Amino acid sequence: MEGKLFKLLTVLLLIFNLCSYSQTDIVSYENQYPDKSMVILKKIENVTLKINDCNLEIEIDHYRKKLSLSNINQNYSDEYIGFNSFHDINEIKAYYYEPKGTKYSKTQINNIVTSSRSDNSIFYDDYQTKRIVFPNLYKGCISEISYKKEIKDPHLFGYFRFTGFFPVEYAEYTITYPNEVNLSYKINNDIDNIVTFTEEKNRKTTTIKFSVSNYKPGYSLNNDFDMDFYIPHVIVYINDYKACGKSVNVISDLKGLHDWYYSLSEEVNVVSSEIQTLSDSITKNIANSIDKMKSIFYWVQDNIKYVAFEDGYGGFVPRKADMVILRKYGDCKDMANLTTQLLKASGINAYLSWVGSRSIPYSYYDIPTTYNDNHMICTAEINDQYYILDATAYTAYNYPSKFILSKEVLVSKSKDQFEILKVPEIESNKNIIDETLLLKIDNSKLIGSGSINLSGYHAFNISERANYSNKENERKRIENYTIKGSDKFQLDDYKLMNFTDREKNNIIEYAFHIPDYIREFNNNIFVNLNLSTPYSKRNIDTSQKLYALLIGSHSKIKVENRFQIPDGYTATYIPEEIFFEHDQFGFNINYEIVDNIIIYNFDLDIRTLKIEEKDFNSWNQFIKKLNIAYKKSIELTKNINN
Amino acid sequence: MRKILIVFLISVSTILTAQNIYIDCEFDNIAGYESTDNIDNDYSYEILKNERFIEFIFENDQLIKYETVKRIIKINNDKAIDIYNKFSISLFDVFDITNIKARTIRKNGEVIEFDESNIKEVENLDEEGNYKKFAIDGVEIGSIIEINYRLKKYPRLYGSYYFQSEGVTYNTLFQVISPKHLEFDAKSYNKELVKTDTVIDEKRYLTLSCDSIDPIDVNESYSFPSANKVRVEYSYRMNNEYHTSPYYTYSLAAQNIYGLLYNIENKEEKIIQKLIQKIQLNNLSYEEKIFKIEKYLKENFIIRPIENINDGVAISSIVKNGYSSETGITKLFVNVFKFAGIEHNIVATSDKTNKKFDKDFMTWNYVNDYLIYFPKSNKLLTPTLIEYRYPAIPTEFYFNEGIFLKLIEIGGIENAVHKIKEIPDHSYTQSFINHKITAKFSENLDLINTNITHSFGGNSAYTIKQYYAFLPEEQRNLMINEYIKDINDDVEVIDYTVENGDINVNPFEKPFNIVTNLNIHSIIENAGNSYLFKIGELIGRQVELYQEHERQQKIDFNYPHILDREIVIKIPDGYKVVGMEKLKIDLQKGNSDNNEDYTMGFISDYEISDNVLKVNIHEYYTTATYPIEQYEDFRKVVNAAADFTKVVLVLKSE
Repeated sequence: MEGKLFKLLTVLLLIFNLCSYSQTDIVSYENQYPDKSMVILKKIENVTLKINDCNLEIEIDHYRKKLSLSNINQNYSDEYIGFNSFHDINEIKAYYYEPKGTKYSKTQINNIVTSSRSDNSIFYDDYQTKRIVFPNLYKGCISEISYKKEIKDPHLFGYFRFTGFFPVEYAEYTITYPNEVNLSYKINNDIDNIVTFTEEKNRKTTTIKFSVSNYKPGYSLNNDFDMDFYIPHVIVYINDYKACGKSVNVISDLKGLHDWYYSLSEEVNVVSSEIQTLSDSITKNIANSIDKMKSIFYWVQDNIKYVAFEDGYGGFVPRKADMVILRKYGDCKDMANLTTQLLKASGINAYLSWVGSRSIPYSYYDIPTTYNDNHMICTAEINDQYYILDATAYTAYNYPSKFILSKEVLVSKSKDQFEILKVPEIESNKNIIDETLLLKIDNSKLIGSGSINLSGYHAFNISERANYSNKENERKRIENYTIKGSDKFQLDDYKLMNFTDREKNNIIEYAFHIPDYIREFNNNIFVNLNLSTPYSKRNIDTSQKLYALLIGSHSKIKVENRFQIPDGYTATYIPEEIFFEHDQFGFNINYEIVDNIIIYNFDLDIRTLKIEEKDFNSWNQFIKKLNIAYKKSIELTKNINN
Repeated sequence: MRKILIVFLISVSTILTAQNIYIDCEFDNIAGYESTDNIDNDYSYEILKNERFIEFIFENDQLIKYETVKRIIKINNDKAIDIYNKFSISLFDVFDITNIKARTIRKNGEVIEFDESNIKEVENLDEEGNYKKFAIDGVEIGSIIEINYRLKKYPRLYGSYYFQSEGVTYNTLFQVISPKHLEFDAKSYNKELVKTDTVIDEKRYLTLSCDSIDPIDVNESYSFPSANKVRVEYSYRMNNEYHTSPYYTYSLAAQNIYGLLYNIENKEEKIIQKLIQKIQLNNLSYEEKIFKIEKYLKENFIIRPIENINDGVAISSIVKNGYSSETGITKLFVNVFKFAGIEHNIVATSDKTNKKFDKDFMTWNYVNDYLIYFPKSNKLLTPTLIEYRYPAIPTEFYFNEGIFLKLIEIGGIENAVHKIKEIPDHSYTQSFINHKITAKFSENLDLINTNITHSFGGNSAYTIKQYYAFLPEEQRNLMINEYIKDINDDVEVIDYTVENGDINVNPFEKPFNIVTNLNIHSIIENAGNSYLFKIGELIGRQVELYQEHERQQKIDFNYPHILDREIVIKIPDGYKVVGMEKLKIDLQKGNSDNNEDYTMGFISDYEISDNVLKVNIHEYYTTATYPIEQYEDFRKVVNAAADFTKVVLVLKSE
């Protein structure tokens, strides 16, 4: 009762506030938020949990009001409501306020367009958007929307972000829930303590409120990492509730999450006779468990294409392994399940597992919810050793897919047993680009031949077959990969070795020439032996607020160029050694002369998956020193007698 | 969506005759299509059969169009599996998919039939209409996929299909089947197809066919592959029981466009007058009026997807709501010009990078895009794009023709007449990306400090200006910084300003300038006592053109233009410069049709006095299309700039 009256008064106040338009208000907002084109005046989500007819109902009242501070705001005028088959959206109301003299004129907006979106990685899903179409919000205009969202599955509820990239004047997230419901919450990224929390206990219900006032996020739009890593937000999850005398578990803890995931996959987690037959044929004549695992894993990678259909519970429940074999396609859950069943059929312990990609910041220990993961894989166990097997990526068995490195995996060993594993980061000496070249001069051309030896992700990346459509395409791809020196580089010949073998180093033997690479002036020849200049442009712009620099994987680059001094010339200058050392990264470039060969040695090592803010300066010094080294040429002088 | 004139389509004699669909959807005998192995092919896939049938049939007095597609595809590698194991069918104009049959035939002969229950409906995909999506089971290397489907469609009386892809295509067949009194015409582009037009019993069969079509390389640089792909256009012409000469002509199109855009109610005329008052056009010149109207309309109205189509085209709704459809905004524009007394033509044309307007073959496909032409100035504006301003239009309309429609009055009654003409463009010297560069060396010669002004004029301004103009401040800074830094590896931006960044400033008169002050480190290399100054890199990165296989398509790019660079650099005291002869390049090629002038070239020269080195470069392309025979010459000219970037001078201490 009280709650409702309070709400009514608030609404009336809002109306009163909106009736008058003041030029000075706009100016004060502009001063407060310079170079921002919009200000969110109010962002409110009021959640009501109710037990009704033995079910838990979740209803959210959304409200959003924003003010334009720029005349050119066509791209930000519309409002979007995203939803999928687990949501019901109702009672959408939208209004457009235009300043007219000292008042606002109010118009109701009725043009709402519903659409689906296309996505390169997902062929079909049930995610849709309602676009509320506004006229251009020029400076001083206000847009206001409200709607009700019903969430049909309590496992999939509870995320609120105070704002995205626009500053927010007031944001509020409240949850009113009956005593029969237990829930937990976590506030993330509140480094500056801007979130206010209050709890109000009434006789039958409790209301918790999270609010933020006058917050302007400082982070740049150019960040490698998602907003969830640094923008303050709240995650709430329902532990359990009592309805009709029964206690229903939702997600109380990590075990609860596992229980739910297990229940969704229980039915398909079986070995059928067809799977047994297929597994037997793949592992025929293979005695060793590890070898069996490899052949099964590689079979799934090679024979099942990734096509993602995700709708409703289809987004959570893997398809039967038999179906996936027939179709020859599947998504990550399908491939994880197929891999698991084939391994089980061959006598190897294998478990369905859930994992979040590196774009998700949460830990299962902190937040045991569905927000933690977006991917499924298979985990095999042989002789107490675990193997992370993700058939959606093209890798060898001992390399997890790149986008889950360092993440936690929830491994479901049985109905009651689960384990959290950490995906290793894979050291740099397992991801090496090792190049050795012989170089010589022919007129002003630099002629080279040699080989690049690739291991780990460098190898998988270049040899993944699906990237090639024909011989010419392959040549172009190899040329783009080996290009060095200048853009006049010409690949003459090449040979690929071990490209179909994931476990051997992939080798490209090649010969090339680069016209006009040599700089010749009177009696001098200058040659820059830094044919490749990796990381030369990777310095971090510290004038923007960046969370961290993303590094794909640990890796090593090694180059040895042996340059033959042409007859009649002597090397009159070779650069001194240059190096940089830090615990996470470093390089070394040195030159030496042996007989008439100048040997150029380059070693670079990156031993981390990200560069954090505290290391930005060191990293930039590293890049700067690299660039200084890259500028050095050798000087050859013609012998006087010639 | 255009209202189709279905008048005069019904024939007296066929009103009561039940009509059957002639083309079935049954599977074919694959054995007849197996590709022969003696062709040394490297293709990811081969299309063994590609047939498209358009049937016009009367069902209960209603004209219905059935489109039947029948294809057989052979899969040769993984990339082909990724392309062909899934299908999306657009439901634009489609009432229903009446039939779908698909199967995969594995290398060992096993057949996997497609389960229709796997078809997913997608609502309004990317706001472009509904789609049906499905994946095909069992596809692997060596499989053959056969897919047939039939769509029941709204009887749009024209259409087109592409019959060329990146794989080779055999057994192409296109056929329009209609009641014999309804005549259609079809034309193939970029390849001669065998054409027949016969009447058998009560039906007319218009057929185009071809045994084999080579693949097209869609990645050839400086080409418009969509326009060069083998394509068939078809269109209704007439009902020979009523018409004695073709009915679907450009004259009809012109009249229809006139009605669509100028037919407004009296009350809407009043709304327009009120709008004109608001814009305030008193005492302005012809062009000033055009500028002001365009600025007002583009700043106050936006184009948006609209649930109720009529809201998008009714003047009263548009003015009330502040948004419209593309047709609606064009309608608003021309009526404002009309009632403000500004002489103008509507130009209906096509995007030539997709389909060039063909005056010899009328189809609505060639008159879908609207421009507004002003005869007094011989310039145009584009009503549907807020990021363009008179006299610039998207360059895909130049080097193309269109219908020019103007209003006339005969005996007090308004009407429209049309002419087919070339769309006028601007002189090539008006579109440029020029660089003015002044530089000096730091004391210890480890960097150069330089002022570079990037100047974008004419059409070239529209490669960057609209992004700048419509981004919020924060993102603008990011964008400009990225652009400036791209010149080299180790660039330190000291500061910059943008001139003429307002979208309403005409870049044909005031170019969009980015004036920068930078330190560039990696442009000087040292080796002992000598310094290598990579002067060529000052002009920024340039395109390098290779040609691995024989060129297939003629050369096409967006617009003729020039690139002028001026470098002024102070040589540090105590040093002399060696190697300046490499700064002299004179490469001019190409001949225009009627005289001996060159049509493309790269000329650079230098002079040095008082230790100040000046370099001037003039690169030009007087046209935007060159014949295929001139490709090698074109390549040399384009690569000349890349060659210039390699020029290095040595500074030696004296």
